[in-house]
Amino acid sequence: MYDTSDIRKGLKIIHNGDPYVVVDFQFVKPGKGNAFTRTRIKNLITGSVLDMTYRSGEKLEPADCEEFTMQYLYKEGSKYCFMDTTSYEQVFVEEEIIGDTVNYLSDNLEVKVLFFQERPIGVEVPMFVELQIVECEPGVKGDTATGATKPATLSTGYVVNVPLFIQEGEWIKVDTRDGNYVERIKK
Amino acid sequence: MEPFREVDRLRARNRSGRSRRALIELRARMTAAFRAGLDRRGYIEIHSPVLVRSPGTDPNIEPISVPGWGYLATSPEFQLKRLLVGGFERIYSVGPAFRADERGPHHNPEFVIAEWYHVGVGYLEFAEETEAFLAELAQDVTGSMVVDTAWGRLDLTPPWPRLTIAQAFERLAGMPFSMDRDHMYESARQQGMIVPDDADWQELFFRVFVERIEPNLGGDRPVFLMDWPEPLAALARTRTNDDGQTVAERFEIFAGGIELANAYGELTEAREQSRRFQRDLDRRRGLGRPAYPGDDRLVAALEEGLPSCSGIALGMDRLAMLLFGCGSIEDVMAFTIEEL
Repeated sequence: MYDTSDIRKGLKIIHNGDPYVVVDFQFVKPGKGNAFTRTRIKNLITGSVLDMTYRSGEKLEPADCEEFTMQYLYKEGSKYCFMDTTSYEQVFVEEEIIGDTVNYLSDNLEVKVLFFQERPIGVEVPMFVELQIVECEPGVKGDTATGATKPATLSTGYVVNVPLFIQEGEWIKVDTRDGNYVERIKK
Repeated sequence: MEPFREVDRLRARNRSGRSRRALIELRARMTAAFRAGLDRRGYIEIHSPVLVRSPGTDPNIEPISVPGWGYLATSPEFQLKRLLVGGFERIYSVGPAFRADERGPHHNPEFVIAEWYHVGVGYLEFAEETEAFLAELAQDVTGSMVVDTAWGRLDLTPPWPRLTIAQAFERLAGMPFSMDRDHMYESARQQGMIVPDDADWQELFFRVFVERIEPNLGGDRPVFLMDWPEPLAALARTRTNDDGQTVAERFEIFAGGIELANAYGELTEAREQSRRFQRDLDRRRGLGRPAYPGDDRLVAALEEGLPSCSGIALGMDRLAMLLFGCGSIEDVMAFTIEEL
């Protein structure tokens, strides 16, 4: 068991049977009052956020989450298949757990899959991914300074704004934290 | 351990934009001005002992024990009151106090507490004296009564707003204040708070307080929070207010969501003091916490006769945070507990 002195950002705990991660916390204590640790915790399955105030010294149940490095293989119906890169075991992850991460899932991409009670509950992609442009307006040469952009469709179906000089068929780097174009990649 | 050099540690700038070294110097000026301000008002500085026999009985304060000797003082209150019984009329102390298990953006187990007492002055008059003194201090130290804190602009020009506990519950937490445990529990839940079923009245009070009231207190001007309920009277005397409720002659000063000071129209009756020590100790036992000895010498002094007086305790680290735009106590300390 944890207690409130173990609380830090990233700590994974159980609340009402669900796994949560601590995203923010603060020790508070009125001079003559009870001591508490105020936390903001995020449900690892639904993503919903909760403000929880724990009594100082209160016990918290650790969420036994395990993370495995896996490779994305293919989609089948509403399920996505991943393979453990060390054991070669394959698992299927439901679409709603993948969420927006689907925008970055290209074949053979290495991701981290989070398991809770042996069930996959989340997929984390690298901070930057390289994706190919499958559709966009023809490139305009020389126009690199104005900062003007155009929409481009990537191999995953995700549409991102890119600079005008980018051509269809080229590869680009995308920041998965905000979904923005970073730079062109020579392949 | 991270290797570091002292010059780098002192040179590092925090979010206020100032280096640790600059803040230590500013803080020294603040402490000097603080003493000068009380000296001008006729207060005598006392060196109150740090090593004490009775660390106090407050149910929510854990002292640090010194095996074979006693405890590190959690405040100089008991000693200063004995000096008032002995005949001093205006005294103050600025020095370290210690409270175990308290560490956060506004807490460090060792901190600097200032306490001052004024004989013959009621707590409402004392509040006026205090706001005038602290506004003057801000002027002396920063050149203005309007300071930029980490939470925005704070105007210390007196008079400061007064708010009762009942008003704070209604206006800031959007729920009625109640002395009834179940009523408080239902109101808190209606406000969307997550509260444990086994929380007692006092825990519910402080949950509402830390979640809904304190963060919104004293944003642009310091606020006096007045008329505390009787169970939270601590060492304040009580009176009956206009609504017929028994309230403590106690006020707290909040600024920028920070609890800055706590003051009482001091309890002077020995028998009531003994009763409160006992009530605290019973509560401590009920909570499974160690019970510390009440201060017999303080009770004896009250029997001898404590004149009617008001007194206040103020966190000097927090005052420095407010005056110098710092958001965390470590910004204004030369050494935090982790840096030792």
